[in-house]
Amino acid sequence: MMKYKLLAQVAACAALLSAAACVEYEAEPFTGQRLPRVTGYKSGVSNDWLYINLRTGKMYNEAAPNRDIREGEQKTNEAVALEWDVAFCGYQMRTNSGTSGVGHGGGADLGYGAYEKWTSKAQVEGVVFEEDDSASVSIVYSAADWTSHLTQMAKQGLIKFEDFEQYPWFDPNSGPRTMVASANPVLSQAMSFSGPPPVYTASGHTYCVRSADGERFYKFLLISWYDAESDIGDEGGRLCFYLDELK
Amino acid sequence: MHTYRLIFILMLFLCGLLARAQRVLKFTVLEEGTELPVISAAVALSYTGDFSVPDVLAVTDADGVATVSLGKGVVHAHYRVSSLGFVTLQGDVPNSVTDVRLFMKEDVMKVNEVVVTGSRAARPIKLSPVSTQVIGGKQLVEAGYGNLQQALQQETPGLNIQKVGFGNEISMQGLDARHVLFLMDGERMTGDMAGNLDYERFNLHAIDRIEVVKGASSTLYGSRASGAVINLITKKTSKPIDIQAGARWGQMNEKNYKSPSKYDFLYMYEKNADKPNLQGWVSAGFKAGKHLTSQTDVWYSSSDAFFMYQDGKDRKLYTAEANPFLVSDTLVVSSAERPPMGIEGTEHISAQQKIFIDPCDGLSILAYGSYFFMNSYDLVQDMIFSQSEDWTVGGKLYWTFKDWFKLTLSMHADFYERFKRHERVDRRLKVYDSKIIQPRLSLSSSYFDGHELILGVEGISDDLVSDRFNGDASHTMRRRTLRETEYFIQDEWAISPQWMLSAGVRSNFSKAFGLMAMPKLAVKWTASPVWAFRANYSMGYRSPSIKELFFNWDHLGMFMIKGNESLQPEKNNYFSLGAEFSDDSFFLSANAYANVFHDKIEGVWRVYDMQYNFEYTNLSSQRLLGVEALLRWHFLDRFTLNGTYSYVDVSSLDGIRVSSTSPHAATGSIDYRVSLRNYRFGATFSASFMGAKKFDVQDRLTIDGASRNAYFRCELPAYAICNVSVSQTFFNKLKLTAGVDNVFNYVPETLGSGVTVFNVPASPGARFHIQAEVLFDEVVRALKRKNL
Repeated sequence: MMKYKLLAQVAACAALLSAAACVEYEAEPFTGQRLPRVTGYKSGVSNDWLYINLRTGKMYNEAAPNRDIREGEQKTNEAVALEWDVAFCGYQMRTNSGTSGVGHGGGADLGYGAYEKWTSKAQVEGVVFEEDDSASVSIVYSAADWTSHLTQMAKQGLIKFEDFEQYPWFDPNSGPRTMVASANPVLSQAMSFSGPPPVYTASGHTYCVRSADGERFYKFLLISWYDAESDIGDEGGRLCFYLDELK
Repeated sequence: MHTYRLIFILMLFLCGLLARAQRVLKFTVLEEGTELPVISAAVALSYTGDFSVPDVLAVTDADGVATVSLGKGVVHAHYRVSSLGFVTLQGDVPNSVTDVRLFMKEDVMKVNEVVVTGSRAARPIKLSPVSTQVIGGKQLVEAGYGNLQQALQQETPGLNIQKVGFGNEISMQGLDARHVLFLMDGERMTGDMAGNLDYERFNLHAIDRIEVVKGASSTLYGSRASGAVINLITKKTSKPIDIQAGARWGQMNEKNYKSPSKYDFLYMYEKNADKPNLQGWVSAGFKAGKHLTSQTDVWYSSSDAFFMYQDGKDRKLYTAEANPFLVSDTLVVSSAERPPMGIEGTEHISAQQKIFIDPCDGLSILAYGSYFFMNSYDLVQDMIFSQSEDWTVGGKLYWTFKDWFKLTLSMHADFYERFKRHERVDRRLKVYDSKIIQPRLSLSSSYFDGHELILGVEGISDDLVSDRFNGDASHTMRRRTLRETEYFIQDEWAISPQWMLSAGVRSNFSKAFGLMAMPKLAVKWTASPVWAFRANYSMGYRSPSIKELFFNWDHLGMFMIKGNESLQPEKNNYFSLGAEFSDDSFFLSANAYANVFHDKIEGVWRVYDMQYNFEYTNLSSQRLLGVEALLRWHFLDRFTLNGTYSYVDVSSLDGIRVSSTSPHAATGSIDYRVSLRNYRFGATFSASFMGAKKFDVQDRLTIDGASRNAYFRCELPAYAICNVSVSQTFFNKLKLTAGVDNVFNYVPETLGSGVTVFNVPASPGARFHIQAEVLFDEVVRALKRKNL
């Protein structure tokens, strides 16, 4: 009798344990795109923009910051000025328009979700696109650039070298130092950041990107700061997104 | 004919004499109201009325029956019947009666409870020289609490267990989790984060009682017992078979995602963000003869994650008082809205097995083990969730020799691991591996009249393997170890029926910190049967944790968390004076105390190498002055009023209040209970009040472009969380409970910034729950009766 009592207790435990310990991996494979590398301040360069020609798929600065297009050259270098449509730095984005470029690009918010609903160019006729400006969007200073910035200030006599400790790069309450950058104010809403601890949250909105020539339109849905198959402990930055042309 | 009549009368007389010489008494002990048998009640008989050494002793069986024989020639006897959880009965055995039927009342006043935490010796709470608060496990379940955190917060004055975005944060009368020692059956646990354990490990349905001892108890429990000890004593059945199984369903906290699709990138995250508030448990015990008792407890629980919101932006007030460089108070309003704060959901299971073996008189052996597994689902879209896994195993041996000597030998081990688990790829990574091994030997003796002497030696080995000792953001796992040996001696001396003295000292030796000695002295004066007074002095200490000593972690390239290998243990001196009134229906206890800390270990922000560094240091002294009161009043036979109040004043440092403790905290509840033969009804209304808080948070303030150290003041309003619960038990077999948590729907409006979020109650608002529990032992008993 005692054996049966013990057996019953152990069986009950085992049944409940096995039911709880399962983790089912049922999600379907991700079919969207991801950035080839992490961009932004972690590379050591604040204005680390990865430029993409959506018409051809060609990328600039794909392997390293500033390798193909230095900051400013995206606008001034005639060889490439109209060869890019969109650029990424961290989770901020540029279009070839306004203060960022000489093209006719721009960005528009098509509303929450419904990525599949947008299928044709005709659907975005009449949609108002916003061009880039240099006042609405902030990017994170790299620690090295922040030190350079302080050095410049000290050389100009605005601060003293010995007071550098008063201007640390990271603040526990407001995070790392930031600077305004030329970027698209609408597309910058695609992801938000809060922290520390760092939390990147995609807005879930579908956006439309107009190409540099102003002729083509691409729907864009930013999915995640993290790569679908990133290693555990990876700090993210290889953005995952859906991007398809509206024809 | 005369001869026969004479013989018959003589025989009758002889029978009468024999019966009188060997009078057999049958005691039937039942619970008042339900008339259920009280099993394992101790029935003591005394011919003189002195029960210190009873003449006859018996224990009731499964039917609540104990049969005892009076000694030859004994005419008068007195009985005393006692059982845990019931009011002791005492009276005279009627002369001509052989069947004694007694009804025991539930001990709602808890003054007869036996406690062990304050003195490490089993002693009725009323006689303990150290003030102990006892919370019954049954009482917590009947009050409808869903977990231990909620139960402790609603029942313990000044205790606050805060659910924050990631895990829990405990504070108690001005002290944080690092100063509150949680024990399970007297044993330590590992796997803490800043002193906070996974409180989900504690199965509410496996708890027999919780003993809370405030003040420094380091003499008996060593490091970390400098603020309080909370000892959770788990159940041990006294019935031949005792099985209870139940389930609880609660309203969802917040529905975050509607019908997640497998196509969704965050499919697992979305699914896990909306776990049901569901629990199931089995508590099974049996007692096989005199020699073997088994107790198994299994608990499964899942809870729903939710967000808390703040309307508007953060407002930081930098006072001139805390920031002398400011001419006047300065208000800074943040530029961005505060994002919602995610409160994680969990899914966990815990299982515990205990086997008690009593091979012969005087020798008892306990073997135990437990397993805990938890998934924690935060609301951060970072492709990972957290898993924790824990095993404990141990054994205890008790040997009693001639009623005056007892040896206790034990070995306890706790192995805890934490993993990060991927949400899209079947992969997990261990990030934390901690274990403690604690052998103990204690000898206690009551050889000398009135003295209860206890002498002990303990070793503790604390190992932590983590990726946070590297000095960079790499995930290399490194091991750090602390080993300590401790000796303690304590004597509890009952000088007279009125006076009791407890004195002890613990010495601690470790390679890192050398030799320390911590004394304690407690006096109890029982002025009358209802009045008692206690005075207590004790020294506490807390060794720096492995994290405080050795952490060296680059937090995402933003700041460093740095341990400090030259840290010294913090010490505190605790003084208290208390008065207690207790009679059959009213209990009031009040304690005034002072707790003075030296070399308190705190984390501070320091800037060097152009970087913020969060460093541990022996910072300062801190003084806590407080009063706390406990009230229990049983009236109109069916109502019990419980109330607690705590006042604490924490010293400030140079005008800066770093402690986020509210001076005022209180809890209260009113219970209504009625028990009939086949029906029980209970209703509980409970409230937990936390007074307004005002404290300063270390920060940076930029003035004319230059950033400097500053403190902003957090002011949080007072609040109360109230719960209501109603339970009914049908035929002693099925118990149904329904209730509402946070019945007045208190939801904080301000989350605040910095550490403020650790101080707002993480409640989704009013939520309904129902619970059903089947008491299988009563079902089995009913079936047996039917078969008979």
